[in-house]
Amino acid sequence: MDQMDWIEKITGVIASLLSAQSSEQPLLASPTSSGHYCVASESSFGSSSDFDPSAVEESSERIFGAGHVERTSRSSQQLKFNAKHEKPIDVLRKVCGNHVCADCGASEPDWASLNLGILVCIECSGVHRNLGVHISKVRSLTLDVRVWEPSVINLFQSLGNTFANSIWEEFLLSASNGNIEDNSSFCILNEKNHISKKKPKHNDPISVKEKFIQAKYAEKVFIHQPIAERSYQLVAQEMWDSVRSNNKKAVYHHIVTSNADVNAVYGQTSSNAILTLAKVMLLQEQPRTLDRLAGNVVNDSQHKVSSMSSCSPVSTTKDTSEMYECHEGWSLLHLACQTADIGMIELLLQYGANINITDLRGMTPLHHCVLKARQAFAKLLLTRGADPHAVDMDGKTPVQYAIESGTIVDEEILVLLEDTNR
Amino acid sequence: MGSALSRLVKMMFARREMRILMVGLDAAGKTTILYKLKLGEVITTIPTIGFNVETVDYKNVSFTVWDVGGQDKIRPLWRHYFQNTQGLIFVVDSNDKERILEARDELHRMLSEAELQGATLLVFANKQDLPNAMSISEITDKLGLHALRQRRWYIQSACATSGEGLYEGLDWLSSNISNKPK
Repeated sequence: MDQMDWIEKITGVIASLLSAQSSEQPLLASPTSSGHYCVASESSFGSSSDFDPSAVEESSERIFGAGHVERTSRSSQQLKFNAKHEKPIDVLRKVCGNHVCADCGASEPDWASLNLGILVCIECSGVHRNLGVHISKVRSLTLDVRVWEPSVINLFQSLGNTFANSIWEEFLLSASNGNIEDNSSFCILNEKNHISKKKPKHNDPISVKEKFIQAKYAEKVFIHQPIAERSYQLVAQEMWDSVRSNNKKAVYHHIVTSNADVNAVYGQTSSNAILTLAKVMLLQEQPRTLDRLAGNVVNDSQHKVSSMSSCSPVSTTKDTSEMYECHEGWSLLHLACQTADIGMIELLLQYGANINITDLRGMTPLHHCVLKARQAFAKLLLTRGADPHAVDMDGKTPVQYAIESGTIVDEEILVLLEDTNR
Repeated sequence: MGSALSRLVKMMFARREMRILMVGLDAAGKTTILYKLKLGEVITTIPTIGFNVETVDYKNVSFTVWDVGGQDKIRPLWRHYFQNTQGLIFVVDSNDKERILEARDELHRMLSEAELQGATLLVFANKQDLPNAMSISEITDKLGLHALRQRRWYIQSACATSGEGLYEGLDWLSSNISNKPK
């Protein structure tokens, strides 16, 4: 019969292709060899900053030959090495907790949620897909290949199942550490109704996993909400500080638990923000005063005044170096392009940061990257829909700045910049 | 007279067979659509590695629907299913704004294949129930459907979990598919 014939042929082709794939992708030898990143991941997200903020970018600048950075960084080299020579699945399985599915504990998970930064098994990935991409964006570690760009790998290395679950299952974890001895079984008292929830095991029926995953990510039942509702300004302030210090774990935490606005604009909020502004300006203008900063310099009202005056939106000066001293009107993405690494940019984009948002000078994050010659960042933004023809208040586009400055030498980026059909 | 009548009746009620290929990016909802049509219920699916094939009978038409996995590494496999395909169902996740252009590229790449020149195109704009679903006109625009030449196409808003729009799509297919592929 015709159809049976087809099925046989197709099955044969798929089988041969899949076996070809698996032979070129040897599986990770054993999950016990995966302790590599655990130390860093287990440290508190509140105080840790996962990478040297500029390490990755510096290293890429060196590679592109545009920069003149002499400092070397072991972590960035490690990252580059990993990204180049190992399969995503091997690199990511080493992140703490990633040797088992984040939701059911099945071993050797080979699916992932891009925005949640976790690895899951194929069954749980099926449930995640049903939640919708606004909650979880599922990809395969082996069958999806284009998505595993350095920025995504970087982000996943900064998060991981253990960390993500410390947020998404905080309630479960604290319950288990308290009066219940059996780690696998918990009882949650929900405000509305009593629901008994326990983390499913890998051999539980998919319907059980479905209920759990729905409760965990869509209803956020196990998240420990802050006791008092924190103000928009306070959360915005914390987000700003976390992005500036390249603390991806903290940013993720704010987004998940406080619904932090990834498109918050600096200076839009309150006098609180001005304090940070003063702090940031000091950091940039007077690196020598770092020690003093540790004290209570932020209370010095002088800095408030100076920051206010220098950030006048009507300023039309063409001195671009001045631009970086003024954060007024910047979005978190602008800030990340200046101070954080590529994984932070990925995190903000995953949670809906507006890629073409403009600051008070009409500059997009892409303008900033081009002017700073951050080629890897520029490339990421371009592939994700940044407009190379956005015009700033001086009437210039990122393309024009790139040509004028001559700092962008990567041909791939130049092609992306010149592509008018995007 | 009697035999002529019965021949007419037979002609009117004869089952037609149609070979349908259903593709689209991963997680667009292809397998859910297939089993909603086949079983009338929503099953919890896992990603399709390989394919599913089912025969769906609807209004005298027997649709043989091939549902093929959509992860990017296995998309090149789609072409193995092109031969004799009369109708192409392209499923889009209306909620996934980020990847609509990727969907467009895959669609146009596929439609340029010689083996699919005679195939009619039905686009299911799936997951219309989700909060930020794009409208039909927006999806039509982003997929570049108006630029298609010499192609019968139709876009149908759908929600696989409720079944909305699925049979409307099949209705259109059954009346717009030539019986002889190419």
